[in-house]
Amino acid sequence: MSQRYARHDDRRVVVTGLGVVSPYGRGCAAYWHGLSQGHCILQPLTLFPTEGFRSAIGGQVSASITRTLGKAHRSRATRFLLAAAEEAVSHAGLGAAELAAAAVSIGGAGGGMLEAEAWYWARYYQQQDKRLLVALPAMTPASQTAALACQLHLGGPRESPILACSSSAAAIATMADLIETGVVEVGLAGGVDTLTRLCFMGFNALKLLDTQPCRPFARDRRGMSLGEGAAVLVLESWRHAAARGAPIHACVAGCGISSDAFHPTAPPTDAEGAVRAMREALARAQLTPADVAYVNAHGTGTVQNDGAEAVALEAVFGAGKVLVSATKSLIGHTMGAAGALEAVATILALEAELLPPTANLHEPDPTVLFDCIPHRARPCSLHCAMSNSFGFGGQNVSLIMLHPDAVG
Amino acid sequence: MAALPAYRAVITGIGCTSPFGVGGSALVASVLQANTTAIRPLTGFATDGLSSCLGAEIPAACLPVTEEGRRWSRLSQMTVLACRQAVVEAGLAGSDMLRHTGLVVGSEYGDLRSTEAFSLGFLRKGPLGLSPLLFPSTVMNTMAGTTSIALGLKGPMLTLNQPGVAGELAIMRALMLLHAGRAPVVIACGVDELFPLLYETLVQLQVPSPRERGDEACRPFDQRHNGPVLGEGATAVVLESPAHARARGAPILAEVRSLYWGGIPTPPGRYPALRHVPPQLLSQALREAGVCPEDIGLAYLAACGDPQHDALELACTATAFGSPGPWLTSVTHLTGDYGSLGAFRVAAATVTIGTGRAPVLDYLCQPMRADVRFVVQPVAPPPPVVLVHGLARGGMHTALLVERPRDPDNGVE
Repeated sequence: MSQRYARHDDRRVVVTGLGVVSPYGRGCAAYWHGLSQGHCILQPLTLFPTEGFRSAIGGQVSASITRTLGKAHRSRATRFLLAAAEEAVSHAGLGAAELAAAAVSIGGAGGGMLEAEAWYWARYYQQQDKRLLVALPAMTPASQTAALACQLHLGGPRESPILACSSSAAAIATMADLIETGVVEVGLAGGVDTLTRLCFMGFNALKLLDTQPCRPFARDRRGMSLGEGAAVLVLESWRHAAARGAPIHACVAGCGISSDAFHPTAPPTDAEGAVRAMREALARAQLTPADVAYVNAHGTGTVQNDGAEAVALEAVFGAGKVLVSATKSLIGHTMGAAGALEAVATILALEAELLPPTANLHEPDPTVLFDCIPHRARPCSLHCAMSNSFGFGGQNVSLIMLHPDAVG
Repeated sequence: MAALPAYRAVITGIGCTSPFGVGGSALVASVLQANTTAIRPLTGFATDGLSSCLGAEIPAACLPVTEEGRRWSRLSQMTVLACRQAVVEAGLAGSDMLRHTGLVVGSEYGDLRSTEAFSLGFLRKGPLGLSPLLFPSTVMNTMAGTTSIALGLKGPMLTLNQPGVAGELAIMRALMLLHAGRAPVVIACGVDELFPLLYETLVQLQVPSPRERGDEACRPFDQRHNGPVLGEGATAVVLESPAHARARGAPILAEVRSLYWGGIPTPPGRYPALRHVPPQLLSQALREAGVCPEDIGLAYLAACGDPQHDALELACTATAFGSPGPWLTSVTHLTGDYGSLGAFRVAAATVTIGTGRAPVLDYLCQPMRADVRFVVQPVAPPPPVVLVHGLARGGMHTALLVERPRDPDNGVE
């Protein structure tokens, strides 16, 4: 490992709490158990009708789990987010004074659209029910962030970045900037998205959904599978975390953000925007490509995305020089929440020294010149890993996480 | 929570797509000079049967159907036109610098027009009625994505969803991107549009004036206020460090810094109760920024016309500045209200420090408070420091300072 990588300044950003709601259930333990077992949880969707659509499967949080998540009058997204945040804050041991000054940044794409759709559908069929109007104030992603700030009494800066599928990775990156520049000491960053008719219909219309569970980096990949969930990370300055004796799960060593300025939905074939994001993350972390042992890929399972990401990885790391896996093959693509869920997966992999696999990868794409860890999790001693997120509109975010032992 | 008060950036370009037309700082100056409202009965869509019918809408002629524009949604078109104008004014058109330029777009609702059109395709014709071309516009980052493609912006690009203060937040985040060294130049843009379904629904929720209380009008800070009148627009400002702007010979219109960025924990959709607003919040932020309250000559308030909001804003400023405090004004009576209007307020403040022009609250017959000063006649001389204040449903609270550019030989960057 490079001697230059380890920043020792007080303002370096560490992760002191993690919280998750995933199709595996509530909590980080259930999430990691599912990932590390390579358990693909993609199955027929029941949240809304799927008749007439090309694909009918996804990673859905079951009704039995959802029932345990807070008050039923809240939007599904808000319930997911609050549950994930409460776990993260509890892990971090944050008190009322710290929360009162904490910032919050929650990325998403759909917000409370599931409930707003129910209102709109009813309105269209002239079954207007004024009670459903309450869905509208919760429709936008900012309302979930506000509900979280209200529930946990968070008084610091607040924002809801929307970068399509890289929303919550951007939330982590921009929160890290707030901490590094000294605006705040503590912040909650993450993302939430639920399955919605809109998203399901949209990706079906684009013919980007596989009828079978998605197969990222496979020769015969046919598209993605949708999912839902939430993840929240407590980020702090190292100085603040050390002063209060907080548990340190990882260090957010560097984040890169770039845009393609190319096409509304497709990446350029040379993936130069993704390359810039990864290189910026490395530069900010003061690391070299050789320091990174594992990449949790964006890896959606679409022909174009996986192909472009493989090109970008090759440009940055060199063919076969890093281990790669796509956890979307296990839980589906959770849209705006994906970046945070995958950041948590990356941190848990660093802690456990075990890399989650890519499911359904029976026949690797020969043009993808990386070991994509098919089927089974792989033990691996590592100190540094990257998580990639790319979104519609050409939005690229790369995060680099370090094992706390490597932080110094 | 003071947010980077020591970090100053400069505004080098302004662009607006507004009910007054498409233009730059000259357009904003003419709006402030004329002090003529764009609020009138809506013509873009029917309001029959609704208790509200007023709004400030962008004339169709302002959004010409061009070859490239045909592919964009109306909201994306508004955003591209505003950002392009700002880029021209900043002297960046055709510059290689655009490949490194960042973009932050703030919006309260995003492109609901496209979202409804996409959904209607399904409701009318089933899965075969779904348009793959419309779907990307249902994601709120579509305006930023379209603009980055149109202008070739390859730096960091963020869209921030936020009620009430989306424009201010876009500027604050742009300042953060500059300070964090993520881009040498960042365009911050606030954009929202009037849209029939949203308008109708907000009327049903009793959000806009008149709320069954008197006549329909936009009268912030007047005792007759009875809710906002809705508007639409896109305003973009080009931000960069003073040194960077000077090095490339850019026009420096104003300096801007982030004074306060915090949240008062409040349920979504509601304003915080006055008792929950820390009384010394703005005073403390001013102290931390090293600014004397007396230095602030004028304040642009969010002033949406909601009675609770108006009372909260006046309480905040009265506590921070005492009596009589700075001259208080707003743009809402001219532009109507929308979630990202704060970017236009910053553009207006930029013009005010240069020209002394500020909106005159000529409708103000029965002011809510007698211990503060409202702008009821032109302000002279131009104030050197202007506060732009924002307070939103859900409790987001922001303050920016817009200042006369410093002499590089004497000022501190």
